[in-house]
Amino acid sequence: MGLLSILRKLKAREKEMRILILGLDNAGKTTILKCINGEDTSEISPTLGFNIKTLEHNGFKLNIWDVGGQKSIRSYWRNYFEQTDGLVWVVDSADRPDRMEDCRRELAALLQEERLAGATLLIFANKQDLPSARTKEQIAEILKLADIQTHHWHIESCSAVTGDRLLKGMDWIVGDIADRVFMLD
Amino acid sequence: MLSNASNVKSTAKQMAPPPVTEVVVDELGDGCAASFFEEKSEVLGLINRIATLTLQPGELTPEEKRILSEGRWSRLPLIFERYQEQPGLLDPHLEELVHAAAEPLRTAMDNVTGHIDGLDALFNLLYVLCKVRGYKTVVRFLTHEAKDLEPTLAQLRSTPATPQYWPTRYILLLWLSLIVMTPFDLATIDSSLDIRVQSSGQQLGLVDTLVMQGKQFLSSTGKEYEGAAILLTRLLTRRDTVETHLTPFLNWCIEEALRVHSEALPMNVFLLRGILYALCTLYKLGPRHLLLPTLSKIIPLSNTLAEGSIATTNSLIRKLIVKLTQRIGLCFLKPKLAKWRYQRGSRSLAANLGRGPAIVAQGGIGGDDMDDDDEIPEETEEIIQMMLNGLRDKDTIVRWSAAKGVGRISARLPQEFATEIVASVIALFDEDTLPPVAGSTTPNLAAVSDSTWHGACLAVAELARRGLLMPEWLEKVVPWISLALLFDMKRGSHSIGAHVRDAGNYVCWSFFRAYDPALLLPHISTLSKRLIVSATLDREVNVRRAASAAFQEGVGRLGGSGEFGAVPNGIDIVTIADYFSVGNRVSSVLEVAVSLANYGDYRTDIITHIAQVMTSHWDKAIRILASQALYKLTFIDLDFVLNSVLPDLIPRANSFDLVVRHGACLALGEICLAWSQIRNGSPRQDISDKELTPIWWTKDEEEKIVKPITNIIPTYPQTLLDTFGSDLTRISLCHLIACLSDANWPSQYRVEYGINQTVTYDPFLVSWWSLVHSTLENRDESVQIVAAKAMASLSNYCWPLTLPTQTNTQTLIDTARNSALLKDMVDTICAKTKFVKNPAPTTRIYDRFASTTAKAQQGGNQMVDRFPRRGYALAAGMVSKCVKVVHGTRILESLIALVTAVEGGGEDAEGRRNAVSAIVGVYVGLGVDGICEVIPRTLFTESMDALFIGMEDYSIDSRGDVGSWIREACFKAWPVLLPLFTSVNMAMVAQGKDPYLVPEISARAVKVLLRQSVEKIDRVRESAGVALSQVLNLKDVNLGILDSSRNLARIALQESESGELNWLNTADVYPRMVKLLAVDEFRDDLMVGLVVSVGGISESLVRYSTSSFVEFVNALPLKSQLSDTSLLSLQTMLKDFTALFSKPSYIKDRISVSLIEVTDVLIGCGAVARVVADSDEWISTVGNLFDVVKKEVFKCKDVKKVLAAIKVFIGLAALSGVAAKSIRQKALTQLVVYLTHTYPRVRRASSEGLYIALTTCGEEEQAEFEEKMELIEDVLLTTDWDQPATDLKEYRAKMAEYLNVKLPAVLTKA
Repeated sequence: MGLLSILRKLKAREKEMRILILGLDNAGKTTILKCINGEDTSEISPTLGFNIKTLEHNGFKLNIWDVGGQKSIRSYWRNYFEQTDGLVWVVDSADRPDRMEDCRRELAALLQEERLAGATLLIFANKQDLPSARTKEQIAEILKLADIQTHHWHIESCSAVTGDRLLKGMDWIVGDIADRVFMLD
Repeated sequence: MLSNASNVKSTAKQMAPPPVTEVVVDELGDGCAASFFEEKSEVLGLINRIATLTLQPGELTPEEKRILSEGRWSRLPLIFERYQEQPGLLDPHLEELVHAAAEPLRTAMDNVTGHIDGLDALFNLLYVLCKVRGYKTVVRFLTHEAKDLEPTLAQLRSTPATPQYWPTRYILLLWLSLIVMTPFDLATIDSSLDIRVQSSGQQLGLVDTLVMQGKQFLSSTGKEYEGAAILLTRLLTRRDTVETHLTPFLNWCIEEALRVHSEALPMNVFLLRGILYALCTLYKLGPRHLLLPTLSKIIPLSNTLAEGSIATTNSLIRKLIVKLTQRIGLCFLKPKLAKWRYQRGSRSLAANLGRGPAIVAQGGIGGDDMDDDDEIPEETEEIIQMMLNGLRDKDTIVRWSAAKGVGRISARLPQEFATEIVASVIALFDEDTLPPVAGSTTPNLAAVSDSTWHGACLAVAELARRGLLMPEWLEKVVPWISLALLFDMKRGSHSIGAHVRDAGNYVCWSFFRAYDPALLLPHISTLSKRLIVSATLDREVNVRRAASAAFQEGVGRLGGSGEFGAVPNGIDIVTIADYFSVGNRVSSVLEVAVSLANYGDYRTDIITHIAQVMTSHWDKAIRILASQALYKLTFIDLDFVLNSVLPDLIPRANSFDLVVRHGACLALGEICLAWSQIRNGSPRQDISDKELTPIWWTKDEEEKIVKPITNIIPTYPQTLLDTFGSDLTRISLCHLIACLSDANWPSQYRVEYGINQTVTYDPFLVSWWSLVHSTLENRDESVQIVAAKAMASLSNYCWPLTLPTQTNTQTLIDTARNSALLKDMVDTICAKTKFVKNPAPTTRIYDRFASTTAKAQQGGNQMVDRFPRRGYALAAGMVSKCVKVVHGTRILESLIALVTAVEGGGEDAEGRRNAVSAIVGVYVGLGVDGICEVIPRTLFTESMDALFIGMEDYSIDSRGDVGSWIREACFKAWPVLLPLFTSVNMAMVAQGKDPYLVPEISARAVKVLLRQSVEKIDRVRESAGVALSQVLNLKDVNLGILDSSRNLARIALQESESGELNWLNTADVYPRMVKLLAVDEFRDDLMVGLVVSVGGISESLVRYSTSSFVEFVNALPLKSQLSDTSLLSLQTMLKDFTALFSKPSYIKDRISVSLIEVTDVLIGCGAVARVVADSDEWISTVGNLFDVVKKEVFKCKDVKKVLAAIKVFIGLAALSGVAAKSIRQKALTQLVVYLTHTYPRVRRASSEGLYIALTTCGEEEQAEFEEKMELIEDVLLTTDWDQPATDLKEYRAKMAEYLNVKLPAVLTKA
C-alpha cells in the first residue's frame, strides 16, 4: 500500500479532479487561475514555476495546476502519480500569426503524451477584450481542432481580465470530466 | 426508514436512462470522438460472436470452438487487462460493452430453465470488466427489471458447484443484488407464493430463498462471498424486508461466527471471512436505528474474534475485524462532520466568478462545536483502542484499515476527544524509543517497531488530510515525520523500513495539501531537505518517486504563496528530480543527487547522508554507489568533504563491522583521488593524461588527513584480513591502494635509489605491496581482479616513467633496474606463474599480510598453487611500462611457459587464460618503442607460438570445455596485436632491421579464427567471428597468401539485410560461412570447423549447419571446368574431405566421430552417388573414403563411433551401379563382420543395417539376391543378436554365404 495506490484511491473517493492550465507564455494562464480563485488580477508577472490551487465546483474538488509557459513544462505533469483529468489550453487570441503556429504545434505534441490520454480538453480563446482578438471559430481553425480524435474538446472565448465566460468554460470541463470519471455517483 | 427510502430512490434514479456522455453542442461544434479505447469495435465484434456461438443449438465445429476459446480465454481478457491501470478510459464504452454481454444472457435465462452450458464465456467477460473497472461501476449497467429476478435466481441455483463456474456465480450474485433493489414489493413478484399455498407451506418464499442462497455462498472460498455479502446487504436493507429479516440474519451471523471461533477449524475461515464481510457492508449501508440495538451484541463479537486463534494467524480476518469495529463505531456516532476541524480556505469557483453565495471564509479553524453535547457512548473508548492497536498490526492491510478508522471516527467526535486520539497516535512514535546515543540529539530507534511507525504515519496523514490534526500539533509531529522519511532499520543482513519512508512521504504530501503555507513555513526547510535526500538517494524506486511527488506538491502549494522562496530552489529541483530521472537508482544518485548538490541549501544534507548512511548501507551495491558519488561530490565542495567527511570516515576504515570498513575504505579512496585531481587542476580527467604537481597538499592537511590515511594499511589488524569477510575487506583495501597510487599519494621516499646511493623507501609501501601480493593469491577471481588493478596502479606509482621531480626517463629506468623491491616482485611473478612440482618455500621482503593458511600450505601442492598462479598471471600484464621495460622479457618468458605447459599447467585453464591476456598486456604496455628495444626476435616467435598453442586448447574438465576460455583469450589477442606488430615492423624497417611479424603468422591466425568461427559453442563462435571480422578489416596488416581472398571473406561477412552479422544466430552464420568453402585457401580449416558443427548435438546448430553444407555441396559442379579450373568441383571437395581423416591426431581425435557423421551426411545427400554414377574414374575417391572410415573404427572401443560408421557402411552398401560394385561388396562384408562384434548394440545395428541396405538398393542389385532374400530375411529378423557372440558365428557364416562375401581369414579362424 504505497503512496501511489493511496493517491489513486483518494482521488476517486474525494471526488477530486486534476486540471492543468497550459499554453504558450503570456497567454494569460495565471490571470485565469487568479481570476477563478478570486484573487487580484491587476498585477501578474511571468510564472516561474507553477501554482496549485484547490477550488470547489459543483460538488467536485478541483486541483488546478498552473504551469509556467516559458520553460520545459513536461516534468511537471509527467512527474506525477496521478492521472490528469482535464487540460485547459489558453490561447492569446490576439497573438502574432507565427506564435499561433507555435501554439498549434505545442498543443498537437501535448495531446500525443501517454500520461494525458483521455483527458478532457478545454481551449480558452483568451483576451477577447482586445480589439484585434480573433474569434474562437478562427482559432479553432488555426489550431485544427477538428482533427483531434483522441480527446473530448471544447473551445470557449473568454477574457480573464473581465472574467467573461470563464465560468461557462469551467462548467463544461468539470461536467465532461464528471461524466467520464464520476458518472455514477 | 430514511436511508431505506433513499435507497429506493436511488434505485429509481438508476432506472432512468444513464447520463448521456455526449456533450451538448453549442454554437461551435465540439469534438467528441472516441477516446483511447482503441479495440472497441474488435471487442464488440468478439462479444457478439461469442454470444451467437454459445447460444446456438447443436454441436460447434472445431473452427468455431477455436474462435470461442481464443476469444474468451486469451483475446478479450488480454485487451481489458491493458486498461487495468487506467480503467477510466473504458468508461465511455462500458454501457455498450456490458449490454452486449448481458442482453444475450438475459434472453437465454428467460427462455431456458436450468443451467445453460456455454454462458460462462459471457459471465467471464463481465467478471473481467469488474476486475478492471470495479464491480460497483460495472454492475449498474446490468439490467434490473423485477421480472428478471426469478430467472436469475434460478440460473444461480442451477449452476454446477464446480470451480470453473465461479465467475458465473459471482456475476449472478452481483446481478441479483442489483435486481433486488427494485422499488416494487418483492411479494408481488414472488411466484413461489402461489406454490406455497398449494403445497401447504413446504416451500420457502422468494426472500427466504435468496437469504438462504446468500448465506450458502458466504462460506465460499472464491470471490462469490463478496457477491453474496452485497446481495444480502441490498436485500435485507429493503423497506419490505428490513423489519422482518435483518435481525434474524444478524443473529445467525453472530451465532455462526462464535461457533467458528470456538471450533477454530482452519476450513471454517472462509465462512468467517464471508460473515465479517457481510457485516461490514451491512453496517455501512443498513439503517442506523435498526442496527443500534444490535451493537451490544456485535461489539463483544469483534472483541472475542480479535483474540481468537484464527484472527492471530490470518491477516485478512484481522483486517475485516478492524473494519467492522470501525463501522460499529461510526454507527454509534451520528454522521456529521466535525465543525472544529481545520480548513484551509476552501473556495468556490462559481462564487469567485460572481455567481452563487459569497466566498467561504479563508483559512483557520471552524466554529465551536456548540451542538457537540450529544452523549458519546462508552463503547467508543474501546473501539478507538482497537483502532490504535490495529495501527500496530504486523500487516499493512490491517494498519491501513485502522488508519482510515481513526480518521473517520475522529471526525465525528468533539474536539477534546479527538485531541486525545491525536495525542495517542503521536505517542505511538515514541513507543520503545531509547534515549539518544551519546553525541546524537535524535532518539535512538533501534528498538521501535517498523509496523507501528508505518501505522502511525498513515494515521497522521489521514488526520491531517481530514483537517483533524490541528496546526498546533505540527511542531510535535514534524520531527517524527522527518525521522520517518529516513527510517531504515538493520535486520541481520538487510534492513527494513521502505514502507515507513513511503508513508512518511504520504504524510508530507498531505501536510502540503492540508495547511496554509504560512503554517508550514517553519518546517518547510527541514522537510524539503529530507524529501530531496529521500527522492534521490533512497534505495527503493517507489520511495524515491513518492518523495519526488511529495516535494513537487510542496513546491506547487507553497511556492505559489507569493514568495517563491518558500521551498528553496523548488522549481529548478522539480524539473531535475522528476518521476523519470529518479527512476534509475544509479543515475538518481550519480547524476540527479550530484547536480542537486550544486544548490547550497541541499548540499550538506546530500553529502552527509551519503557519507554517513550510504557508505555503511547493508547493500554492497549502495556502498559502491556511495563511494562513486563522493568522488563526484568532492569536486563540488572539497572543503566540506575534507573537513567534515574525511575525519569521520578515517576511523571507520578498520571498523570491526565488515560493512562499515568496506564502505569507508572505498569512499576514502575515491575522495582522495578526486582531491588530488582537483589540486592538480584537472578535474574529472583520466589520471594518465595529466601533469602532476609535486606537492598538492598543505602542511595542515598532511598532519590531519594524509598521515592517518597513509597509516591505515600499515596498522591494519591481521584478523580482519584472515577471518570471515576478509575477501570484501581485501577488495576495499586494494581499491584504496589503487586510488591512493593514482592520486600520487604523498610519500617521502617512494622511488628507490640505485645501489650506489642510499637504498630506501617509505615503510608503508612494504605493507601496501604485501597486501597486494597476498590478495593476488586469493581463491576468488573477483578479488584477484581488484588486486591486479591495485598492482597496476601501485607499480606505476613506485616505478613510473615520468615524475614531476624527475623528468629524465632513463634515470627512472635505471632506478627501477636497481630496485631490490622490484626485483623481488618480478621474481615472485615468475615463480608463482611457473609450474614447479615441489617449489621451495620462498622468502620475500614483504610477507606481513600473507594469510596464515597460505603460509602453511607452501608445500608445492598443485591445488593450492594454482590460485596464486592465476592471480599473478592476471597481474603480470598490468604492471607499469617501466617495469615491463626493465623486466618484460623475464615476465614474458614465464607467461609463455605457463601457456605452453603440458605438464602441470595442463589442468589450470584459468591460469593459462590469464597468461594469454597478460602476454597481450605486456606487448600493449610496452608499445612500439618498448617492443623494438626490449623484445628479442626469439621471444617474439615464442610468444606467437604460445598463442597458436592456446588457439588449439580443447581442455575439458568437470566444467566442460574450459579450453574455450583460453581460445577466446587468444582470439581477442589478434585484432590488438596484429596492428601493433605492423607498426613495430615499420619501425624495425626504418632502423634497418628485419621485421618481426611475417605474413605467415597473420595468415595462420586468420585460418584458425576462420575454423573456430563455425564451431559449435555459440559464445566461442561469436568471439572468433568478431575477431575474424576485425582482423579482416585491418587494412594495413599483410595476410600473406590470404590477402587476395580477404575481400571475399569480408563481403561474405558483411552482406546482411539486418546489418551486422549476429554470430550467435546459427541461421545467419552458416549460410554465409559455407560459401567460403569455395576459396581454396580457406577450405581446409573451414571444413574442420564445420565438421564439428554438422556432427554436433544441439538441434538448431545441426539444422542450420547441415542444411547450409548440404545445399552448398549439392550446388557444386561434378567436375572442374576446363574453362575455369579455379572453380571448386564436387570431386575436389570430396577428395579434400577424405584428406581430413589424415589430420594430425591433436586435431583429428577431437573430430573423428563428427567426420564419420559428416561422411554419412555426404552419402545421404546423394553427393557420393553422384560421383559414383558419373564415371569409374572417381570410384577410387569413394573407395578411399570407405578405407579411411574403416581404418578409423578399426579395433575401436567407442560404440558411438562404430555406430556412426555402420551408418556410413549402410549408405555405401546401398549404392547402385556397376562401378560401385566393389565398394558395395566391401561395405556388405564389413556389416557381416560386425554381426559378431563384441558389443550387442553393434551386432543389432549391423543386422538392421544389412536389412535396410538390401531392401533399399537399386533393382538390379536386389535381383542379385532375389532367390535368397527369404533366407536372408529369416536369419536377419529371427536371430536374437543379443546372445553371446560365439553362438552367432553360424548365422554370420550363413549370411556370408547368401551374400557371397568372403570373410576375412583371421575372423573365420576365430
